[in-house]
Amino acid sequence: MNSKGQIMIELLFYLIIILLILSVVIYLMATLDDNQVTRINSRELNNILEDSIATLTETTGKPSNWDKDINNVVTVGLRSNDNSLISYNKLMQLKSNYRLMNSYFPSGVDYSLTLYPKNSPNDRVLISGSEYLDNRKQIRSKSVEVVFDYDYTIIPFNNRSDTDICPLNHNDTWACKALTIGDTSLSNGEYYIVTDTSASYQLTNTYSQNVSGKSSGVTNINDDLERLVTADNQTIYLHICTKDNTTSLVYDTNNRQEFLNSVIKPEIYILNMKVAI
Amino acid sequence: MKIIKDNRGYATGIIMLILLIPILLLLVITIEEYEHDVNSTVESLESNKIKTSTENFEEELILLTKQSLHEVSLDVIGSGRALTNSRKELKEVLQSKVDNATTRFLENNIIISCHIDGIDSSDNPFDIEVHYSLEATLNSSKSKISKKECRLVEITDADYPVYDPLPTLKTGAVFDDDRVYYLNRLSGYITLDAGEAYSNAVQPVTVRQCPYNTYPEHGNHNNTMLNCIKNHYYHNSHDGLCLLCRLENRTSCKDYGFETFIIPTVVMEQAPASIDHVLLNDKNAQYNGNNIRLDNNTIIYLDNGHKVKYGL
Repeated sequence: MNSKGQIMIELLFYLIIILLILSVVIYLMATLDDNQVTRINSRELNNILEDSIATLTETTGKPSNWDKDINNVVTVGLRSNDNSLISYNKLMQLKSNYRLMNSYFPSGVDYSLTLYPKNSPNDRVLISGSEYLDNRKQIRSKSVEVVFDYDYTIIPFNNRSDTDICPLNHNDTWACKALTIGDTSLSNGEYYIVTDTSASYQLTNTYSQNVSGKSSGVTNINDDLERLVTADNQTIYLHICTKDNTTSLVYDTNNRQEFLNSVIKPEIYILNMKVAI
Repeated sequence: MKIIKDNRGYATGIIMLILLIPILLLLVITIEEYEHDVNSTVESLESNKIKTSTENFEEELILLTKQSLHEVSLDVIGSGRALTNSRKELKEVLQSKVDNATTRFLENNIIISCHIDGIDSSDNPFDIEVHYSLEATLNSSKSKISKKECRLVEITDADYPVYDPLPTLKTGAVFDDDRVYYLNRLSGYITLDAGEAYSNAVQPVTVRQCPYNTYPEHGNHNNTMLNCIKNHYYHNSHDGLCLLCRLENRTSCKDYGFETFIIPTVVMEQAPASIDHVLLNDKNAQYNGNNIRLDNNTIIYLDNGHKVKYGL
């Protein structure tokens, strides 16, 4: 091979490589702005999604009882004020006022918040936003497992941690607790004994009157209580034989009987949020 | 035709150098963007970790307060020595427990600094107020939580029983296994005539709140009153001392306190009222009550005021 030919080939090779790299650089320069905008959008979209779903599931909102006064909502948060579960009341309030979250998102960003039971993904319900996010360049989605607080007052009767002697002198296989119940609480809600199998129970008042029964699954005890309560704010002892069962007393003021089984075996739901530009 | 004379490879070197510049640029841009993504993810994870750790610490603070109350009350009732300043001494005990707890959090790189600002009685005598200032951060993190809080801690948790030291401090009664044995010390302490009605009285001293919280209900049936007495429950009372004043062996208390029954052992027509703040009060502030029979073995003596309060 002569040296002239070699130089020519080398030059050609360099030229091809320079052309290739220059075209890549020119292409990148030309598309850099677009790409950066897209990347920034993508990151911002991710941030919006992460922040929104975190605000919804991890905070109570501002004010924390925003569901009671829908006209003064600063931030929407679904966490219950009493525990780390998701408040069913707040979720229903958001569903009824589906525009509440619109101000969270910049113009041009569309969103959808849906809910479905983990074991039944087809029973999807739209909570807020648009049902379909069509013709969008980018879409991000995030799902979070949630368990609901149905705003029941729950008193577990599982363990006997105190050494109190109950008025009926029950042994350790019974859990006996005093409750303050009156005409008002009886007329405002329903008392249920919820158990995973079956449980014998007794109710006593301070006049030494008592009523006995057996609960399996969910048992409404309002009638039993009405027989024992003669005035407002009376002390009623509920005695439950807790041997081989898991049992709670539940007070429901919202007429949500259909969710009572979740007290013993909570149902897991998936809250899904999608954002798109 | 010789276009470039490159016998020593200068041209190749220069071209290679030029080629390196855009590659380096691309590399720098990629690394910067990656770092930015990583940093924002790390920041979010760190703030979550601090938030969760703070919540866990505050839960632990409640347990530590209950533990401190249990230990201090046990120490006072066991030793028979009253505290001179219960708020200050409880605060010191709790602060040392809190310092130990923060050391444990430090092992996970979480720096928690918690200062107990004070311990005080609350409107409900069965709760104690704990005021504290807390700061939490992670090593080398910008995220920080800083707060000043007041939490109510119940003194009636069965897992951390709090003992009423007043009987021991006032009379020198003997404490053993969650109850005090007065022997002849209470009857000796009482200055009224029928003090011997309380000879050899025994009183459980674990503070437990009475569940019959509409007090006149006690009088609905003897079994209700007997159940209250068997469990030796405590009741809200303007005249009774709060826990902090009991630990200091005081006779009067500006806070809302509690009271309990001391069950007599001797039946008489009339004897000093069976309420602890009456029997263990200043000797000239004791007063009598009338005999109320609850069953064959149990009687109490109550004045008219307490009879009305408990519906008897």
